[in-house]
Amino acid sequence: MKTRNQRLFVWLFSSLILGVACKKHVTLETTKSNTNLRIEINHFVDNVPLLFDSMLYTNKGGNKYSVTRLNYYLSNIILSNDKGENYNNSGTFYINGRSTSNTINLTEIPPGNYTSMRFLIGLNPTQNTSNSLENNVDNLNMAWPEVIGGGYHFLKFEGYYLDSARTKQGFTMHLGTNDMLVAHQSLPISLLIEENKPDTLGLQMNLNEWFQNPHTWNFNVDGNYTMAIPALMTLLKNNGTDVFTIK
Amino acid sequence: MEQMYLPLNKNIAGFVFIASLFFACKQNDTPKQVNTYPTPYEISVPPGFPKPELSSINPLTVEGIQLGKMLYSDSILSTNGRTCTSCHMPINSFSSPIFNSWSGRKFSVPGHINLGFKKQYNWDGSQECLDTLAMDDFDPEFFNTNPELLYRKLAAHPIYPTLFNQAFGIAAISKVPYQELKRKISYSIAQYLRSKVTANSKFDQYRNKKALLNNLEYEGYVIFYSEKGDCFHCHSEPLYTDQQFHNNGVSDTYIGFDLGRQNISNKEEDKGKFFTPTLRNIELTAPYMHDGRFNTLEEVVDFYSDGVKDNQYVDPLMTKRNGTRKLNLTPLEKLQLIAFLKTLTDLDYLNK
Repeated sequence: MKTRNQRLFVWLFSSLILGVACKKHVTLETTKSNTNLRIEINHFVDNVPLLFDSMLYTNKGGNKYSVTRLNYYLSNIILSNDKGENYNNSGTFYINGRSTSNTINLTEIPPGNYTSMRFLIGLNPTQNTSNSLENNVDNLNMAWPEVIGGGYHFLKFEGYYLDSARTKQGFTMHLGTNDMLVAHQSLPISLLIEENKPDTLGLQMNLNEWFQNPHTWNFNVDGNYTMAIPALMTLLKNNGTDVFTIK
Repeated sequence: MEQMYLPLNKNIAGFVFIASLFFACKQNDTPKQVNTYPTPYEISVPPGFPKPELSSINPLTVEGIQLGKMLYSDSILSTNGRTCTSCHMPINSFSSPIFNSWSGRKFSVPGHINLGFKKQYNWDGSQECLDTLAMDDFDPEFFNTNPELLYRKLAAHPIYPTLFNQAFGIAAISKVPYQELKRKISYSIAQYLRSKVTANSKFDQYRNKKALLNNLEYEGYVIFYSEKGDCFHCHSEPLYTDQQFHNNGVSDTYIGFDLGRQNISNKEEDKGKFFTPTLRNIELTAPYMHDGRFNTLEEVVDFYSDGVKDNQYVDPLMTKRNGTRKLNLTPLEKLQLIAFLKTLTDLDYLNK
């Protein structure tokens, strides 16, 4: 009996040691180390880096304009590899054009050869509800009031333009509500993700694209205020599907 | 300052020894509470509010807040009878109905409302540190403090010496350099102001499903939060300030104080910009605008509806749905909007 108990003890003890050892081994195997991607976002007007508060730019509609504010969300970033597999990131990223650095860090990307990227400008409908994001000042200032739909502004793009009398006027290009979510077109990338080799990708917004393709925006004709005006927000939304390029 | 606290590095061994004795004897003896350090205080953050802007150099403590609350309304700091509440009157939600014109300039007094959530202070954002905000108030144009008199009064006071000791480890006020004494007074007042939170207005209760709005208030709520009134972009919930600077088109000329943020940043684009004031307790904080030019909410709403100036520095956000800078509210809509603004009044806050 004593011998049987001793054997049982040895067996249980060995199992415990092996169990612990195996568990550690499994954890190591499933961890993807340093398969991270840093996306650096920059803002341009055509090929010129954006300079705020300067009446330097001209849109396709012929309006001379400046930019005073550029705030928006990027979300649902999807990277597709050459095997047709997708890496989905469900995060929402607030971008402030005035920040000296706007970066998004994607982590634990399965190694592979990635050939395209797509994302949303705004928040998907499951997230786009009032108070769903952390209550920090940035998010609170992006709130879209409940009485006109709730959720968050997807985009605040503001500035001044010279009207037909060459007088300085303000414009506020705002997007919000689920119907106005911008599904940006797929962007071709050439990105080999390997373990222990974190990589960087440049994403560049051309602000003039908000005013063109397909609709050529003219403040004097189309207006200078879009918020909660579905027809104007739709024009802006459609223009927004190709505002980014990879650099 | 080191002498004010128990120097931990020198007494660590002693502390450990005493702590060991305390815990060793705990089961047998009645514990004697030895409270060398002040009691940490945590702000109760209302639902929907951002995290408070706390200070690493001036952490909140029960004793610090109590000291600040007493000093805030005590003329012991001045030689002219003035207190913080001379300009930050509780009945006016810690604002003032009187134009202040010391230093030859006029402006309306920003209310001390939810300051613990702000990063910048004063109309032009000239101060970025709440902890030292009160230090200038000892100057001749306001408290006109006599240092010797202040030391004597504080030392002779029945409560302050104990509170200074409990809050900041100051065993003897007389041994603290004057600049440091002012700093600690300012710290305690900052702690008190950080601890004061208003979030119990009728509209808060409506948000929390504990109260109903009447028809007039509800229609005003819709105007406020829709493009009809377009107030929410700058006065964003729950603080009712976006904590940013805007030129709201109240001025046509820009000289002196009217330059606003430009006086601080020296940037042309900041001309005429002022920190968005909170609308909480707005009913109690007249006069309005940085220069106090409007005495009533009716005047304010008239201005936003029809009186915004048309100059090149006015914020793009003042451009409204109709493409102009006018809201064109009807008389009824103006009444509704004002009724809503009055639902932001929290009378409980006046007693905090």
